[in-house]
Amino acid sequence: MTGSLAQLGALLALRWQMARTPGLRLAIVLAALTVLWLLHLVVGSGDLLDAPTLATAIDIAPATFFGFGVLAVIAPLTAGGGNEVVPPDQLAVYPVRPTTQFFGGLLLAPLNLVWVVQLLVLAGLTSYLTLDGSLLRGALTTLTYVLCLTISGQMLAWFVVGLRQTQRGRRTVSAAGIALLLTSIVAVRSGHGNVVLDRSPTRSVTAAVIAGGDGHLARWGTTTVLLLLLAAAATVLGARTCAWALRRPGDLGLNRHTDPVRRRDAKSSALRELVATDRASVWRAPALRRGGLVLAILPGLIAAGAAVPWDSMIVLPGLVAAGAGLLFGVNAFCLDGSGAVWLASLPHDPRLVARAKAIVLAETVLAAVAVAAVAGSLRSPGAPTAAQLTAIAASGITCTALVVAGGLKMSTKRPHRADLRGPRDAVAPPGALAIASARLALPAAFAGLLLGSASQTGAWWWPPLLALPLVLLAVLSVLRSLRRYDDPFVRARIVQTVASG
Amino acid sequence: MTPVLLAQGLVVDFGAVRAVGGFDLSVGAGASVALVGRNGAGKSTTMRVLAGVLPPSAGHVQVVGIDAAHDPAGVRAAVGYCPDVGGLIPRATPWEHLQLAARLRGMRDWRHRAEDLLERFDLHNAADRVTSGFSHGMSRRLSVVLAAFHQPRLLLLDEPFDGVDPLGVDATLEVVRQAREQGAAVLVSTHLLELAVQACQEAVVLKGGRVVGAAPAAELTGRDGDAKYRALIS
Repeated sequence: MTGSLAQLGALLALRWQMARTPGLRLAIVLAALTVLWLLHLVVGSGDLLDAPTLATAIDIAPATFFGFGVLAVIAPLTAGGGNEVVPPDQLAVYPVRPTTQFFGGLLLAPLNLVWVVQLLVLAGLTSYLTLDGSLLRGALTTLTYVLCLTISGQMLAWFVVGLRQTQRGRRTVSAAGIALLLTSIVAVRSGHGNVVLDRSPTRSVTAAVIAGGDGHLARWGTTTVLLLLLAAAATVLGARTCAWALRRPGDLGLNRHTDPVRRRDAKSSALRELVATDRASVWRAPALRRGGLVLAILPGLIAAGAAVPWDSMIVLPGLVAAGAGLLFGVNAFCLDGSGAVWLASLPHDPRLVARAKAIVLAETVLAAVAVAAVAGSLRSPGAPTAAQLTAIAASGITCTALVVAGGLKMSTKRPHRADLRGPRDAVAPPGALAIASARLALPAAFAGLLLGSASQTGAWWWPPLLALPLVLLAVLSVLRSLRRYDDPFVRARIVQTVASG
Repeated sequence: MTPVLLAQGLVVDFGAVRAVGGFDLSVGAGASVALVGRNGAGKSTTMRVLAGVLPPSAGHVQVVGIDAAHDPAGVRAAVGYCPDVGGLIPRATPWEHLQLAARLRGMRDWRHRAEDLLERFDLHNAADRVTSGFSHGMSRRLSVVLAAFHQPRLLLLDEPFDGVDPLGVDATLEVVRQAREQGAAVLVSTHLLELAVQACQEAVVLKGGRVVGAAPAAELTGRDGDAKYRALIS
C-alpha cells in the first residue's frame, strides 16, 4: 500500500511538472478553488429557497442520491476502469503497481464535469436536509456515500475490464448490459420506477443525513459507519480486482491489429480520400468505436424507455453532441498519429486535412445525435407540436455545429499525442478532457435550453430562427480554426505534437 | 547546372533552443549524401525542414529550382520523405497509405508500381493490415516504400536502416541506387556509418545543427575513418 501511494505521488508530481506554463498551473488551481467556492455557495443556498421548492428538493433527495450512484458506476465503465494519471503506454517499462493505477483512477474521478455537478447537487441537498441542525454530521454521511459509490464504481469497472479480456466474458458483459437496460426500461414503463426508488438504499442514506442534522446519533452513526466500512471494503476489493484485470491475458488485442481489412476503392478527390482515411481511423479505434456506439444508442434507449416528454427531447442532442465531441473531436489531428509527419510532406492544400477532420467530426456527432433523437422520441407521449419538432431538429444541428466548432478550436490550439490502440485509450489527458467537456457541454446545454424555451411559444419558426445565429457563429469559428491551421508554424506544432508528443 | 537540393543558412529554433544553426548543403542530380552526426545534431530536424514539414526560422531551401518559401506544394511534389520514427497513420493499411499518396500526388497507373515496391520490401502479404500492428522494421520498410513510391527528384531517408533486417536493407540500398540512376538526389540520415558508406558517395557531418565536415563516404570507413568521424563529432 505504501509503495503504491509513493508511486502515485511520483506520478502526480510528474503530471504537475508536465503542466509547463504558469498559466496552466494557475488555471488548474483556479478550477479547484472554483469548485470549492461553488460548494460553499450551494451549501448556503438553502436559506434562499421558498418552502415549496425546499420541500420538493427534499422529496427528490433519495432519487438524486440514486442518480449519483448510477453516474458513479457508468463513468468509470465508459473510461474502461477510470482515468489514468499517465497514459499506460508511457509507463510500460516501469513497475507501476495495479494498486497505483486503481488509486490514480479514484483520485481523478472528480475530473468529470457531470460528477462535479452531481456532487454540488448532493452538497446542496445535504444542506437542505440539515437546515436547522448539524450540517457537519450530514455532510460526513454524504461524503462517505460519495466515496463508497465512487470506489465501488471503479471496482465494478475494473471487474468488467477483466471480464472483457475473453470472448466469453465480453458476451457475458453484453448480455448483462442488455438485460439491465431492458429491466430498467420495463420497470420505468410499467410504473415500477417509483417502487424501485422507494426501496432504494439511498432512502436510508438521506434518512441518515437528516438524522445527523437532527442529532439522532444512533441512526446517523450506524449508516455512516456502514458506508465507511463498505468504502474500505470496496477499496481493498477494487485494488485486487484491478490487479486481476490487468494480469488477465486477453484474446483480442493482438488479432485486432493483425487481421486484414477489406480493400476499398480509391476515392474521386483528395478530400474524399482524406475523409475515408479519417473515417477508418475512427471506426478502427476500439475506444472510439465503442464510445460512439454507446453514445448513439444508450441515451436514445434510456429516453425511449423512460418515455421522455417531447419538451425534454430538445436538450438530448446537446448532451449527446458534447459526449460525441469528446470521443476524438477535441484532439482531431491525433487520428493521424505519427503519420501526420508523412502526410505533411505530401503535396496538398493543408487545409484539406483540417477540412477532412471537421467533416468526419461533424458526421460522427450528427449521426450520434440523430440516432439518439430518433430512438429517444419513439416512445415520447402524445404527438409533438410543430414547434417541438423544429426545436429538436434545430437543437441537433446547432449542437453539432457548436461541438464541431469547439472541437476544432481545441484541436488546433491544444493538440495532444494519443495512440488510441487499446479500448481504454483516451484522446487527451484526464485534466484536458475535463476542461474540454465543460467547453463543449456548456454551449450545447445553453443552445438546448434556449431552443426549448423557443418551442414554448408554440410558433414553429422561433427555434430555427434562434438557432441560425448560433450556427453562423459556429461556422465562423470553424473558419477561424481552418485559417489557424493554414499557418505553417501552427501546423508544424500540431504535427510534431500528435506525431511524437 | 541547378542542384536538385540547395539549402542556405537554414536555422530552426524551438523557443530558446537552436536545433539547426546555419545549415548549408548543395546536392546535385544523381548524387547521394549521408547526413551523419551524434544524437541531437539536428539531422532529423534538418530533414523535416527539407521535406517541407517544418518551416525554417531563417534561411531558404530550393528543390529542383523551386523555392520552398514560395511554392511549398511544388517542393513537396518533388520530394519523397521517410521520417525518422513512425511516419505511418496507425489505423490505415499500407495500401491505403499508397492510395492516399497517389491521390494527393495526382499519380495515375500507380498500382503496378505500388505492388512491385510492396513485393520488393516483403510487405505484399501485409498490404491490407493496419500499420499499428507492424513491427518497427516493417514500419521502416513501408516508410521507405512511401518515400520512393512516386520516384521523387529528391529522396530524403531519415534512419531508413534502423531495425531493418538484411533483406530490407538490401531493398533500401537498391531503391537508393535506382533513384540515383534516374537522376534523383538522395540524402540519407543514419547512425549506421557502414550502411551510410554503402548507400552514399559523400558524407556530411553535422554538429550543433551545422555542417562541421564533409568527405567522400569511403573515407569514413575502417579504423582511420572511424577515428576521423569521432574527431569531427566530439
